[in-house]
Amino acid sequence: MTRFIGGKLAQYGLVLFLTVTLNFLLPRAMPGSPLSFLAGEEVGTLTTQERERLLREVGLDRPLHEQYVSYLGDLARGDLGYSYQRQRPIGEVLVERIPWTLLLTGLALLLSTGLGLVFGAIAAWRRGTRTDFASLAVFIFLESLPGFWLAMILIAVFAVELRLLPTFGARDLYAGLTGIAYWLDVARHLVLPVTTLTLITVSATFLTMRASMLAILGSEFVMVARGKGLSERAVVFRHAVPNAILPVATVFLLNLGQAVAGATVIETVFSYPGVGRLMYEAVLARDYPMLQGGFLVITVSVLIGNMIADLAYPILDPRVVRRD
Amino acid sequence: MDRRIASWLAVLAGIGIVVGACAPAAAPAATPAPTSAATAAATKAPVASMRIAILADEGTLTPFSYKFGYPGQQMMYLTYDTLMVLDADNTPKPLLAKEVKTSSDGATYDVTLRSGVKWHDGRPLTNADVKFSFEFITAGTRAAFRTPIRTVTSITLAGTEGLQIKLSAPNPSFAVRALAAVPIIPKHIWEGVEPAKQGEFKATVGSGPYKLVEATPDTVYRMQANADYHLGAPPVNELIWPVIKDQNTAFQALRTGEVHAIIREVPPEQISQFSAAPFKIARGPGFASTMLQFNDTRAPWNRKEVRQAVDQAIDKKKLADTLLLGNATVATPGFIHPNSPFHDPSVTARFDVARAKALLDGIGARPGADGIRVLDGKPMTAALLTYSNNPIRLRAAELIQGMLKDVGIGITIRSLDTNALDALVWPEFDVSKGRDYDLSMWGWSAPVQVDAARVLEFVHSDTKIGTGNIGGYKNAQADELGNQIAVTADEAKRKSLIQQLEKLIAEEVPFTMLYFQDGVFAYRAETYDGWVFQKGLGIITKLSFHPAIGK
Repeated sequence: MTRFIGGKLAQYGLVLFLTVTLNFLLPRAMPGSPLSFLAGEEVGTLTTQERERLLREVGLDRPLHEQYVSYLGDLARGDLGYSYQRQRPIGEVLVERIPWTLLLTGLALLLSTGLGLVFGAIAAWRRGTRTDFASLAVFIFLESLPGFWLAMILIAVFAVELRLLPTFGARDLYAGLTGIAYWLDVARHLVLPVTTLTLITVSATFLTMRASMLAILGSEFVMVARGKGLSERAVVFRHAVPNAILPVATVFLLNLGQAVAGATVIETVFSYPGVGRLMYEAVLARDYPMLQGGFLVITVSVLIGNMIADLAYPILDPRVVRRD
Repeated sequence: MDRRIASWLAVLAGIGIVVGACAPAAAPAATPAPTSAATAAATKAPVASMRIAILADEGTLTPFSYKFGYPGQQMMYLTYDTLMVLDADNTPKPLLAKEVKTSSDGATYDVTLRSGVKWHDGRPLTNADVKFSFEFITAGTRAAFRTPIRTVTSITLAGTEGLQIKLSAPNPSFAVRALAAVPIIPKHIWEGVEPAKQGEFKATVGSGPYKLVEATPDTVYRMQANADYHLGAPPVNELIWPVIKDQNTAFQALRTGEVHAIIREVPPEQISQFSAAPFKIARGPGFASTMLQFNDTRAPWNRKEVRQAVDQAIDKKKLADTLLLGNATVATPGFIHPNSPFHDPSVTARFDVARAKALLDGIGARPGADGIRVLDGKPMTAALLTYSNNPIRLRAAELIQGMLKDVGIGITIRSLDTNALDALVWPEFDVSKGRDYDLSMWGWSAPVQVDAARVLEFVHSDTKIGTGNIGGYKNAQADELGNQIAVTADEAKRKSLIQQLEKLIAEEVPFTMLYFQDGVFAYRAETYDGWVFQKGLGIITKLSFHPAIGK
């Protein structure tokens, strides 16, 4: 077990180093430059000397390897750098964004996993019946919906027509709410974006669960359980579901790591302050430090998610270790 | 096994908690965010609060940190005053200045400040602050305001209210581009700030009609009326600027009353929905241009006849009608907006397919088997670049593709993200760095048209003067006219020179002007109806927030 963990950690260290390097190189390989955000929109009126001075101020005049070394040095000191576009420390920007992002994507992930799991299990259990066909149809329909479109429809119906929920943002900006009222308001702002995100992602879990459950229901131990005279409920919920959950758990843990990356389209339509939109804007602005810092945090989260999945799997399914 | 069930039950319990947390939240739904109906009763009394949606973050809203010329710069001007201010017709009027006198040679400006003006922190605003502001901008790294004051050689102070600004050469644009543009910042706040780090410094003290009280990045800006403003308290007590990233969502928020106005033009197809109470529409000319830019240094676009043929082949009226449902002004080929006082009415838009074909026939460009003309042994095909995030321009490119095909020019459209396109058309935003494209959809923002003399920046072949000559166009006559425009102070003479250059551009077609989208803005009139449409810019300007400004 120790060797198993040690080997995994070494693998993750290597992957981390490679991503740090790629995070540095890829933004700089894109055509374009951060100049217009460093100097402002009227950048075209600067003289060549003024432009050069500006690049010197942020160290972009130095050779690439020097920039890379100083980037690694800053990272070692825990300094993620300073955003060109936002003129703020990147750590500060991320600390502000990540909780909102996790609130949105985390809730949607829990909901879509839960719903997908329950409906996937039921569909498989009722295979070939009307319930199965109807739920398949619904979930495949949801899968095919474009997120921005669904979001716009939900806004039009629930915010504009029914006036039940706010159209944008993560919290009230006007009334200065505090305490319980504040949190209730945060929840109201979450309803539409979380619903949208849940609906467009739920089918993956549903289909995984359904397929996994079908395989399990056809296996011998289920036949044995039935043969023992167990009730159908006991067969399905005590024996089949726990075994069928394994692939869903993997998908869940991988998505958990991804949750930090946010959901760009949903964040944009609802103007939700998430990491997805943040990174999209950083790409447009060629905000190298923001891209480096943001993608680093996302990469690390994905790696942690994978690592948890890797480490948890032997516990969830002891056969994994035995095969090693 | 049981542990697994337990952990999954925990997850399900988590869902339950979340759902539980959301459930009571449905209750306040009966009382949605206060709509403007609540404030409708307020008639003559000051408006308590108004919310205006912006579509992007604008930094900390200092003169060195706002992001976009529109709306960020206009928002910044609510906190920071200028010596002069442009009125609704873009004529400079005194603001912090009581009086501005220009010497006969146009190279010396004598300014007398208004008495008794105070900063938001109560300290008096003096001529030393003005001098400091000019010097601090020059010492910094930010591009805005820098070019128009580059020719300032000295600023001498007289007493606490008088100052004399000397220029190295006459600059007739100085009032519009410098005096009505340079934000005056308090010396006592900024003097310790290193100029190269000016963008990072957070400051809120200005002398303008509004005090910035909150700037939450990417979320909201909040401004409080400055009751001690030197022209009297402004009519709206509080301005809130929520950031709504999606334009469609912003217009939905206007419908629900979550916001009362939006900085962006109403999409043409939605104008009718906002034309009746409680909404009103403010309409006027827009100065932001849409054009087809040639690489004038690359064959065959370096041939005048080819450029003229392209101009003749494009039906600009059809573009305006199709793309903007007619809410646009068809551009005339000489760059100057048809509503500008500098426009020569004899310069009119062209569209004549037969003439386009004749021009191409005339230079020996004959159609090949596929209908594409061949000139000097090469088929007349080109890539047309356009921004991927601008659907209207992308559609314009498609329509132009069809129109040029009709005259035998083959176009492929390449849509690129803003920065990638700029890197080809305007590498490092420095025209001396060359260019790598055939054709590109392009446009210049409104301020360029506010000062008609700036037309020379787009055709002058000296890269230090023609800073926006992204086509690399070169013409001795245009250079000469540009040189004269830059130094001619006499108004009538200047106008005549600008019109000569306008005619030359119309003849030479270094770029094909297409249309100017009209400014059509929707707002909730019951909340506030004091909006002023500043020609070319729209309603989100300082003039809308204080009736005495610009008078």
